[in-house]
Amino acid sequence: MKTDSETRDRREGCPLPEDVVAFAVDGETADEAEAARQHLSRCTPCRAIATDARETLGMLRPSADTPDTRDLVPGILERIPQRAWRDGLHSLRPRNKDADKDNTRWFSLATPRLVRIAAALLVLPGGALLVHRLARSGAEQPVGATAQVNAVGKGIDWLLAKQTASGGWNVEELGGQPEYAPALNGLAILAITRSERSASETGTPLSRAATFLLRGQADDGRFGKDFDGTMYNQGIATLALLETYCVTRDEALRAPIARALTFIRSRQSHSGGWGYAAGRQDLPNTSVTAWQVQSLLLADRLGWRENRVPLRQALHWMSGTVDGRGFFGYERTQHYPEGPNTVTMMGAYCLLATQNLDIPVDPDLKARVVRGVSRLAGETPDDYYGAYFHSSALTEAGPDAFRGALAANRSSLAARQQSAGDGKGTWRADDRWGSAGGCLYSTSMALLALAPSHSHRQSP
Amino acid sequence: MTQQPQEEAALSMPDESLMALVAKRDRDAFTTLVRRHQDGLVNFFGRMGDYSSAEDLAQETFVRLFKYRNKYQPTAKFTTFLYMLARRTWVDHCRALGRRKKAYDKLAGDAEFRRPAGTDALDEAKARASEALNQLTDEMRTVVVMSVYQGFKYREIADVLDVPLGTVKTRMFHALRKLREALADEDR
Repeated sequence: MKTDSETRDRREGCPLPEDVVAFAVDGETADEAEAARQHLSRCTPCRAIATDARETLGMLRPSADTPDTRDLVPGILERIPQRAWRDGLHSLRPRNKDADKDNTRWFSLATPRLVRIAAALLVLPGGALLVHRLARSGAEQPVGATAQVNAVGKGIDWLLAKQTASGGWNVEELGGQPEYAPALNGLAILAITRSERSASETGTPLSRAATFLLRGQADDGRFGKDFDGTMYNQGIATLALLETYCVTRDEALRAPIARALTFIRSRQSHSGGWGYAAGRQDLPNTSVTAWQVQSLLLADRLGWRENRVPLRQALHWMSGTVDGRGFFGYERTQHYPEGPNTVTMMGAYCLLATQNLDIPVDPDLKARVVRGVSRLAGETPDDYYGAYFHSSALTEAGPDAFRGALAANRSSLAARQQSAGDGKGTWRADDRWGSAGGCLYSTSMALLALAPSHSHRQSP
Repeated sequence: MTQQPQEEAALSMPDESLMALVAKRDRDAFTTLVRRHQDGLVNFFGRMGDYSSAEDLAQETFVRLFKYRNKYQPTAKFTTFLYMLARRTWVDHCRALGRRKKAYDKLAGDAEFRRPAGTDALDEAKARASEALNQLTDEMRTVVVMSVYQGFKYREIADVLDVPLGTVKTRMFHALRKLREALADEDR
């Protein structure tokens, strides 16, 4: 699908390209289908999108065959205890009241509540969300400021203990996907740099971690392999190196940081943001862009002035996604595939972080963004990624004004830290991004959300 | 296979009614559900990228279905519940294999996986589609597999994955763009 050109050619009143594809792939209700058909009959660009989608589906469907599967029933029944069954269709037989009292009823009301919650978390898709919602509904006790500090301490201890001899963290062992190793190691570094540990305590582990990151840097400044997630790796790893430089003052880091920043600039789209794929024609989005902006903001403060123009272009692109309520969109105005909360907090954090720099931002826009943050401040995110940006944006928008919401977010996070077992000091990778990042992601992100300081405020 | 009378009764029942019986630990209802959905699940796991483990993963999903039978709400579509469990099984499988990349590297080296038996045009098209699918992220591939090969509607996919409908639309849009590019690359 030739998205960019088609997006330019689309006329006002056209449905979104993803809606056109949805019609081509999925169909809609009868009325909507008729409306879509009528629109496509008179709109060449939208018709081209639909045709492309159908052609691509046509290339896939020849492989939609039915497998020649053996009967799985005997193997499955072997794994279920014989006593678990009644004989015959239940509806045809008298009910035995004692028959339900076996060990397969894990969710009976007699089971301790914590066990039931834990079992749901282990098995059910969305179990994490369930647990989180249960926690919010009252099962979780508020955690005070002192306990939050203690939680950060335990989390940092765990991170330092898990640092390997190579200087990095074993991403796979900690449940993350290896292609995101630069980003995940970067998050661990950021969690350490933003803790209140002294430089004398963290300097050596940070230097070792930076060395590990640099071993994975290509000549063009890129971290890790070139794939859809490259710019997450790049933004986060670059930010981690910049913050390590703030702590260690190791001049040897300047050259690789400069190369990393050059790579970020080279992948900036013409519209000013960054997207998933490699190239200036890619559709930018606020999430990927936010990490590049955080890096460029700190780089600017540290004297890499060649980033000033790309930074202003990026902020201009982000500003263009803000709607009348002060909400940022994901790829464009009012585009919220995961809801408006996290994407707004990401955008707001970046935009408001410019207030101590001489980068002009329209004061009316700033005021609108603060109103947007205010509207969403009470909505605690469901995932650690969102929690970090929620906490960061509220801090930027006014820590005093949002003290209650900040405290609630941090208290909720601290209460979810594991207090015993192998995972003591960690946060479970139980949110929507946990399968990509594992507990290195969840723990680092939770620590970042609890952290008192932010990168662009680091002293140059 | 000779059906017993009670099994025959089960054959005509809808999934949701059978599941209500499974909640009461009815074996015949359970085996009927397994035989009704096993091909779909094996196909799902194969398309997700691991043909060699597809039957084992389908088996594991059904074991979980029995374990968590009491969590099923009769108001929900049965296949939504089943594929929620399947999705979870897949995620756990990837972790157990030492993450998805390793699994795909292993599979990519498997000539049988890359090029199914036979060399006719249809086999070639299947192999190309499989390779293109494997270039997608896990999130995108799940949406494509569920929509194209399993016949789920967008709304059902959103329910299975517990994401907004808009996310499904966005993932499918980007997935098809990447698939088209991947298939075009192979043409060159």
